[in-house]
This record gives sequence, structure tokens and C-alpha cells, in this order.
Amino acid sequence: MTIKAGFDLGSAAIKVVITEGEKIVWRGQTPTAPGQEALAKSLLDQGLGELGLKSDAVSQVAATGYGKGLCGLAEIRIDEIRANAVGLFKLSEGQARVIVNIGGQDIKIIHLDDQGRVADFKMNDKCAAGTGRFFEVTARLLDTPLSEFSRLSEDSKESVSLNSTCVVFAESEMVSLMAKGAAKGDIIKALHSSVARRVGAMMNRDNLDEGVWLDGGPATNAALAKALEDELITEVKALDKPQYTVAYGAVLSLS
Amino acid sequence: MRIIRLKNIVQWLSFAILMYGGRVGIHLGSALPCFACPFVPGCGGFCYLMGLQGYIGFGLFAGLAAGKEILVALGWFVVFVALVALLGKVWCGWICPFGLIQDWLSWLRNLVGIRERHLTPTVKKGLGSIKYLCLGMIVVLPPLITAKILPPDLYLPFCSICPGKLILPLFAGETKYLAINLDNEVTLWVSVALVMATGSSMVGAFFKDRLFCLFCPLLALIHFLRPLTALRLVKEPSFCVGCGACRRNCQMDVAKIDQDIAQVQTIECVDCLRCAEACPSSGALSLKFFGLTIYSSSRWDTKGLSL
Amino acid sequence: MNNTENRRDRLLKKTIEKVLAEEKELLSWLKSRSDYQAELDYFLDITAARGTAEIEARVGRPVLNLLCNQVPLELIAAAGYQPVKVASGSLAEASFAAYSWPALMCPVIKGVLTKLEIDKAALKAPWVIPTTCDWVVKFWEARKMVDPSPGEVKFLELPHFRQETESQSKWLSEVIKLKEWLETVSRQKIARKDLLEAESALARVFVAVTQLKKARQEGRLSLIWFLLVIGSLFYDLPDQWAQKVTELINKLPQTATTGPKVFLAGSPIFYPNYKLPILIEEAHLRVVADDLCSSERIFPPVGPLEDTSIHGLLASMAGRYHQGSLCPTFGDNERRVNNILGQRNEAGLVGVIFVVLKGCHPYDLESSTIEMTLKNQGLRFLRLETDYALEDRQNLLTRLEAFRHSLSGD
Repeated sequence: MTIKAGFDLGSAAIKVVITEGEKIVWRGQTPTAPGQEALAKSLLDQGLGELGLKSDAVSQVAATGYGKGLCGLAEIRIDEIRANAVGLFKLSEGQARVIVNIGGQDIKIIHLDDQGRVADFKMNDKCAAGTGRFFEVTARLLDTPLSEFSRLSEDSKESVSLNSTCVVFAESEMVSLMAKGAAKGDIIKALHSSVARRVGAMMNRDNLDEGVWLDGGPATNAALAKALEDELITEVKALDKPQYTVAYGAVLSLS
Repeated sequence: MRIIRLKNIVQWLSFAILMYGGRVGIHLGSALPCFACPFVPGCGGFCYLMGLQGYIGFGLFAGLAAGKEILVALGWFVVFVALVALLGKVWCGWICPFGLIQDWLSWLRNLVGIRERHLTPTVKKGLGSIKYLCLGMIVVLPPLITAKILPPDLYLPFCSICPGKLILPLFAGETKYLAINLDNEVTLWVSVALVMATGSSMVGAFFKDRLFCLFCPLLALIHFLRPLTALRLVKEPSFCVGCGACRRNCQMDVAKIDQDIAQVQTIECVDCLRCAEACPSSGALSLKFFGLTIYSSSRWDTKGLSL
Repeated sequence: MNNTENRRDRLLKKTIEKVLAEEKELLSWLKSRSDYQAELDYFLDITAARGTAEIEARVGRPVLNLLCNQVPLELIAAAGYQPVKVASGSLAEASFAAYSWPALMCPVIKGVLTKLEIDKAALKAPWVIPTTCDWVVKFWEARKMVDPSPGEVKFLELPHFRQETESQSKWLSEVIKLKEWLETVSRQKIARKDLLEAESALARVFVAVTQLKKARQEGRLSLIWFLLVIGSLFYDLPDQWAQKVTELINKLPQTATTGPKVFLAGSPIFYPNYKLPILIEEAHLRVVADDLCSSERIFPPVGPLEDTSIHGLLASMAGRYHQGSLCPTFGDNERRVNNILGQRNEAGLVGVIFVVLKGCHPYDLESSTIEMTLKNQGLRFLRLETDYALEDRQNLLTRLEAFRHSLSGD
């Protein structure tokens, strides 16, 4: 079986998957920093090392994400919208028709046809509202790891609300909520509905009868998925390790 | 070549044939759907309105007795329907000699630089009903004349007041219809009416493109046969942006041609194709013959521009 | 007080430098393109030298400034003026306006306000302004802040329903008043002969524009050059410009570029802001037709003249520039989309890119209605909202690339 690798050079994190055939044999990620290609390369080497493979075992590399143009290693570079579509369609066993991808600084809504091709898509304009950046700011402010968000949100007793979708204004709203003694869980829950509202504003007009697939880093957050279900009035599904879908999609588009 | 230029050539050729054809042995029969005036000495064919009046009046009564005349009448009627079915309003815009004379007046007006006057929709509708009056006259009066209820000097009542009868013979040197006929009271009034109708139509047509066509009973007859017509102007509304170029260039001021509708060939349309030539959207306005496109508007066509 | 003025002046000076740098960068990039050819120099040169004084020296007649595409160009020309549609695509110019004006304001109007401070002669020229969108309506008030003693101006009160008979006759009376106003400011009568000559000159320009459109549709001329050439129309005499266009067309290569064919719609794109056209090209999409008021719709199509009396000519102009305008500020503009549908088969369109400039509300609203109609007709649609800033290039490119892939179906 041939070994291939996919790099997703995102705005927040660099994700690498190594595949054998169509099977993912290794995944890894590291925060984005200058020298993206070197970071990706060392991540790949780390993966190959763990798999007990030599660094020349990889036959082909595909790159996607904002940094794809900086990646000289890559045999092909594809846009992350298509990579996302290809990856999720495969991993959902051909079931996905609508994808909501919450990335580091953007939100992508992707519609697929029944062959898994991109039928239509939307992306937020220059504004970080509702994106992964929003979660990071909140995590720093509340001094709480992102992995705790879902559990804390489910524990929420009181209902508070964030009126602003703007990250900057929402941050100061959170500060004043904390000053008033609001529980972390309540604030996180408010954050989730704020993100859900923002996504809803982008896609309320779309046909969502077959449910949507949540993808990207924040997709592991079950409470966020719940908030989205309430907002979109449809089933929200997520993969096991959603942050690697796009990198996997890039590999799949290697012939 | 500009489609309008082609139309002009056809108009001049038709004029020559219909006005002078008889002199070289051409005669296209008595059922032409245009003002090929029988009062023109040596003309190349007869306007169907004359035959129609004759058959309705004389032929109808005589035919009841003889039987043969009615067959001839029916025969010419079939020819008329066939000619209309073939070319439709092209008879008006491209062939009618009286139409060409009106176009000369528009040309003259443009040469002098006088603006064209447009009729308000109400006035236009009012004036337009005159053609039904004329048509009524063509159907009702001849039997009354034959039955001697009306004086015989009213014979061919529409022709006696048709401006074509005064104007067209002039081109063959026949000036007698210009004069007031003093034979008796009836001829006096009829000839006065002719001069007045002609004078006002000509003055009107000078200020408003083809004003007389609004009154023309033949135009109405052709329009009634529209369901049979093979040649027609068609609009594809989904290509139309509503820019109004068609309406601004329309000789007959068809008001609804720029609207979001497919049926644009109204009763007054004379198939002059100025709308289609002016239209900047490809395929929005077309002339079709049995559904086959003969001419179509095009965004690439700049031949009609005055450079 | 003195201090602030000083700071403003310094800022303006810096802005001028930035404007020049922007243009210089674009210019050297344009000249390094593989499809650059010497015949394009003429258009590059007149675009670079588009200051009011430079234009007047070139064309030998005074400049009259205007906004939007409802002002009959031939009427302005018949009065002996050079009609110049003022617009700005400069990021530096738009940014300078932030000194005085709201951030979310239309970047074109912001840029124009700054341009007026740079090009002092433009301030003194007469202006004609049709009341199209809110930004244009409020422009003169804002402009008076730049110069409290503005020159002559004529507002054309634009009736916002182009299919209504009452609106059409109201607009005709506005055009007739414009002619009278022009006769007053120029102190000379506009004769029928002047109008006919101006109509013919514009018709010759239209023939040249039609050749440009054809060349672009055939893939022989890229969108970027198309925008540049057509935008330079205002800086030259009509016949000279048409002549140069014909020379250019004759020298264009016969080989066509490839890529999925798309229609470009929405807010205007002005020199030197070719961010989107460049990205569209980078994504290997090929624009074969557009309906931008800075491009194909720069003036309404010229047609045959039916009534050549003075009144007839004015009436035909009024109709063309009002009923024939597809400006989104009209309240009955539903049939605008037919301009795209009508070209679908002819141009082989597979998709439509719709640009919304931030702050451009009429286009923003129309983007939704047009999207629904086009998608129902099976055309792919991509809406891009942006401004003059360059930070979103990567984001836009990602979308354009994904759009291209969705068009080619792989």
C-alpha cells in the first residue's frame, strides 16, 4: 500500500494526516506559527517515526488551507472547500449533504450533491464572529481549556446572553458578566448560542432537511452541536476527529 | 445590410410593381391585402377592399340569383386569406404603397427637424376605433346601395373617402380625384369628404408616423386573421431587460411592446421591425415564419447606428 | 487648530504618494503580463494622466464631471464639454476619507471626495449628478465640506421607477432642463447639428465598445484589460478613443484563453483597484460578459435614431439613460437578471460572480434576489463582499477556486 500525506495549513493550526490506501494511519496537529512548511514537515516526520517508517516512505503530499501556497513539498494544492467536501463525504460514508465548518477565522457552509461534489458554498466575510477565534478568546478569558466547554455548558443553570456577535465586543460583555458573578458554564452556553445564531444567519435560507454535519476544530463540542440544532431546527451530526477532515480530503484528491 | 434598408428596397419595388405593373402586363389579382389602388391607371393589382365592397353589395344579390358570382367572391376571399396567412402584417409595413407614402412624410419631417407628435393612449384608442367604423361601412353600406335604399353615387363607399384614392393616382398622372365632383349633391359631399380625409391624414402622417394606419380597415382585417398567420413578430420576455428601445423606435407607438409579455403583435403593429433592429438583447424580438426565425435582435448588430 | 490642519495636509501629502505608488505597482504588473502589448500603452498613458487639467489639454475642451450612468454623455458633449465620470478605486484615497467620513461609507464616494482634494481643478469644473443611491445623493453636501464655495452643479432628480410612464415623462423634463442648464453655463445654444454630431460620435464609440465586448467574449481580451480600456473612455475624445480601440482589436491574438465562462455582476470596479479581476484570473475563471456600471454598462447601448428633431433626440436619450439603465437603485429592476439569462447560451455561461462593495446597499439587496432567480435557472452563483483593502485576498481566492471547481464539476 502506498503511503500519502495531507497537510491542512489553517489559520489556527497545522493538521497532518498520513494514509495508507484510503485509511488514516496517523493524525497530528500543531498551532500555526511562522515557518509553516517546516512545522508541517517536522509533524510529518514525527508521524512517520511513530509509524516506524522512513521519511522517504511518503509517495505523495497534498496541501490545502490558507498556507497551501507556501508548501513546496506538495504535489497538489487544493482549496479547503473542496478538500472539506471530499473528506467529509468519504468519512460520512456518502451521507453528508450540508457541512458547517467552523475554522480558525472563518465559517464555511458547503452543500454537496449526491456524488459528493461541491454544489454551493458560503463563507463569512472579513469578520471573526462565530469562528474558532471566538472560542480561543473565551477560553483565555475564562481560563478554561476548550475541551471543558461542552461539559460546562451542559451544567449551566442560569440563562445569560451575549448580545454582540463581534468577538471584540463579546469579549468585554463576557468580562462584565464575570464581574456580575455569572458562572463559567452560563457564559459558555451563551457563547454557543451566539455562534449558533451567527451560523444560522448565514444559512437559514438553505434546505437543511437532511441534517448538517459539523466540522472543524469546534465540532468536537457536543454542546455547540446542540445549540446549532436548536437554532437550525435540524439534526447536527459530527465526526469523531473533525479537525482532520480537510487534510484527509486533500489526500483523497491525490490520484 | 440593415434590415430597415432591406425593407425600404422591398417597399420601393412593391411600389413600382403595384403602381405601374399593369403597364408591363403584371396584374396580381383583386385580393391584395394592401392599398394597391384600382383607381391608379395601369396599376399592378387591386386592393381587396374594393372587391370586398363590390361582392358584398352587387355580388351578394346577383350571386343569389346566378350562383357563379358567389363562387368568384369566395375564390377571391380564399386568395386574400391565403395572402394574409403567408405574410401577415408585412403587407402593411413592407408592401403597401400608401404606407410608403406615409414613410416619405416621416422622412420629410425628420429632414426639416420637426419633432414627431405622439398620441396619448386615450386619443389613440379613440382614433383607432375609426377603422371599425370603416369596416362597418364596408359591410353595411354596399347592400343598402344595391337595394337602392342609398343613392348609387355612394357605390364603393370606402373607396370614395379613402385617401389612397386621391393620392396614389397622382403618381400615375391622374388628378381627377383631387377635384370636387359637382355632378350632384351626393358626389359633392363625397368628394369634399375625400379631400378632407386625405388632407387630414396626410397632415397627420407628417406629424405622426403612419397615422393613417390607425384608421385602416385592412389592417384590422389582417389582424383578425392573425391566428392563421405564418409570419409574425415574436418576443422572448425572458431575454428582455425592459430598456424600452423597441417602444421608442416603434412607428406605431405600440405601448406594451416593452412589457414583460410574449404577445407583442398588437392590432396596430405593421411588422416594420424597427423594434427588433433597435433591441440590444439577442433573441428578444424576432420575426418568425412558421416558427422559423428569419430575423432576430442582436447585441452585436450595430448596422442601424447613424455613424 | 493650525496643528490639525498641518496634520491633515501632511496626511494628504502622504496619501498622494500612496496613490502614486498604488498606480505604479499596478502599472508595472500590467506591463509584465504575458498578454501585454504595445497598443495598450495608449490606454495606460491616458489613464495615468487623468487629472482635469491633463484631460482638458488632451481633448481641447473643458471638463464636466458627473457621477453615475444616467447622465446623457452626448448631451454634455454637444454642449462642448468633455464628460468625465468621476470615480475612484484607490485604497489610499478611500482610506484618507476616513479622516472625515464614516467607515462604512461607500468606498467609491470616499475615494472621490479625496480625489477632489488632490485634483483641485476638478473642484472648479461644473458637475451633473443624478440622484441614484443615497451616497450619490448626499455627495454634494459632503463635497461642500471639502470646498465651501463649490462650482456649478446640476442635479437630475432621478425617478426610481423606470417602467412607469409618469416617471419617464418626469425624467424627460429633467433631461430637457439639463440641456437648458448646459446652455446657460456654456453660454452657447445646443443646435440640432451639435446633438446629431454628438450622437454619431457616441455611436462610433459604441461600435468600438461592441468590438471590445466581442473580443473579450471570444477570450482574446482579458477582463483586466477590458476594464482598463473601457474606463479610459472619459479621458479622451470619442473618435480618437474609438480609433485606438480598433487598432488594439486588430492586433489582439487569435488564440483564446480557457477556463469556465462566468458573468461578472454587481458593484462597479474602478482603476486602480483590480483586486477582484486579478483573483478571478488567478482562480482560472474567465469573465466573458458583465453588467458593471464601470464596464459594459458604462453608457447604455446606442441604437438607431428614429426622430432626429431636437425634442426627438432628447426623448431618445432620456429613454436610453433611464428606462435603459439597469442601476440597482431602481425600484422595478426585476428584469435586470434577464441580461444574464439572455446571454447564457450565447456566451456559454456556467456561473455568475456577484460583487458587493461593502456599504453598497442596493447591490447587496439585489444580490439576494438575483441569486434566487439564477439558482432556480440552474446557474451557479458566487457572492463576494469586499472593499478596497487587500487583507481578504486569500479568503476571496479560496472561494473563487472552490467556485471554479464547482463549475468544472470535478
